[in-house]
Amino acid sequence: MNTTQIKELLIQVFHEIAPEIDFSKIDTAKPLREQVEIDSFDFYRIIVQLHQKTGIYVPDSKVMEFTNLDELITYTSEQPSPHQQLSPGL
Amino acid sequence: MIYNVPMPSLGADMDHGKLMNWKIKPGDEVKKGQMIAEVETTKSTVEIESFKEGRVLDLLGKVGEDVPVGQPIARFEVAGSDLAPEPPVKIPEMRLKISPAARKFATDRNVDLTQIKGSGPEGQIELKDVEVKTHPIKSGSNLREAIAKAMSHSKKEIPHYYLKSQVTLGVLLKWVDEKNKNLSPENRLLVPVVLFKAVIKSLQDYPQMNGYFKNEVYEPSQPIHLGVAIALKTGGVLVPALLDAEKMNLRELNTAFQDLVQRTQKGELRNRELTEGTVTVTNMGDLGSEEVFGIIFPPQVALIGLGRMHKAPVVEKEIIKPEFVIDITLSADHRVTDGLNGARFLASLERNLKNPSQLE
Repeated sequence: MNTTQIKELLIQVFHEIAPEIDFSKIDTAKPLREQVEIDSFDFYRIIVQLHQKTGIYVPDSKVMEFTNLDELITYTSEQPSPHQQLSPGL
Repeated sequence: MIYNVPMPSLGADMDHGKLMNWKIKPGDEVKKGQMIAEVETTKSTVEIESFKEGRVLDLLGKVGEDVPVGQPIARFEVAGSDLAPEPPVKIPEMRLKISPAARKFATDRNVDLTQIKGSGPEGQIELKDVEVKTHPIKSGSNLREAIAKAMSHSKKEIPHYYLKSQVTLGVLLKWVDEKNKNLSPENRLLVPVVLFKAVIKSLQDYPQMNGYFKNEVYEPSQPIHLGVAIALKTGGVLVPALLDAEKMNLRELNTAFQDLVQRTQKGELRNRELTEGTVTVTNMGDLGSEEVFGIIFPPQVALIGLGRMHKAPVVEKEIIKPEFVIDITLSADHRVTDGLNGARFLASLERNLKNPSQLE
């Protein structure tokens, strides 16, 4: 999965978890929680939903080190995607 | 003669009522005892009845209007001489409709039913109304006031002592990671929940940290109702409790905690969850301070602070290496325990965090 695809999914996830947030106003290079009202529990739910949509598991030790959304997007894009691997055979 | 229908008093503490609905209109012939309007008080919506027979001349009160008790809300033309003395206004009793289950629940727990607004037919109080705490949560200023009161009381009355330990989390995070890799996303274990589980386990071994100090006496509590400080998005903090947390395994605790957080943000907590906590944990999450020395929530006697997990240099076998650590703190009541008890409790917590496989 490339970063654009992951960002698209992330927009959907944000819309489901925090519909009040306008994703287009988030600067993904800046710390997320300095920009929007997202607590650690919301962020956990974002990670869980992203996992559901991509099949990519992000360990807590990584989650704790992300300082902005770009790092999450890059990390996720670098992982093999189980969902994509399955699709050609279906 | 003309009779002014007053806003009735529906309780000693009622000074005004909100007109919700008229059940009569000008020109109607009204019988004694007939329902004429619905009035909302701070407690519930009540139908009010007419104490006179007559014809409605006009409705003075508008729907949605707050009217002081005694002020006329309607005028009736009634039979009789204008000179006849006005009989004293009879105050109707507020009859609460309550489902049997709700009544039993309320009686068992000493809940004041007059403080609850029913959601059932005709305002009947249902079990869920009793379970859900209907006040201060949504009102920021009330909540601020409640926090101020509890914390001032605590700082004045409770001689706190504070201890801190730094615990490396390498083993625990690896263990959680191994679990989560094999779990479906929605069953993912939350690291804070694993920390809570370790706290619960230590509390079972140190009951002098779990209970109430009341009337100069400490009473340990057998159940562990683990209060968890949750910052509200609307401002302020609530400390709802995971009731009977000692009975839950890790998976159950994980589910219960997530449910509690979501209900806290939605204002759907139950009375018991807000009143029966026996100990408190405050968790800084991934943003915030590395250490937190909390104020005990009276009549509890201890508060465990979980700082922000972060990487720090850790010395192991004479080698310095970066590792995730957490600063765990204990604020405890010196009337109940001494520093030595506290230190032992923290040491037990550290052992539990370093042996996560025993936390399942």
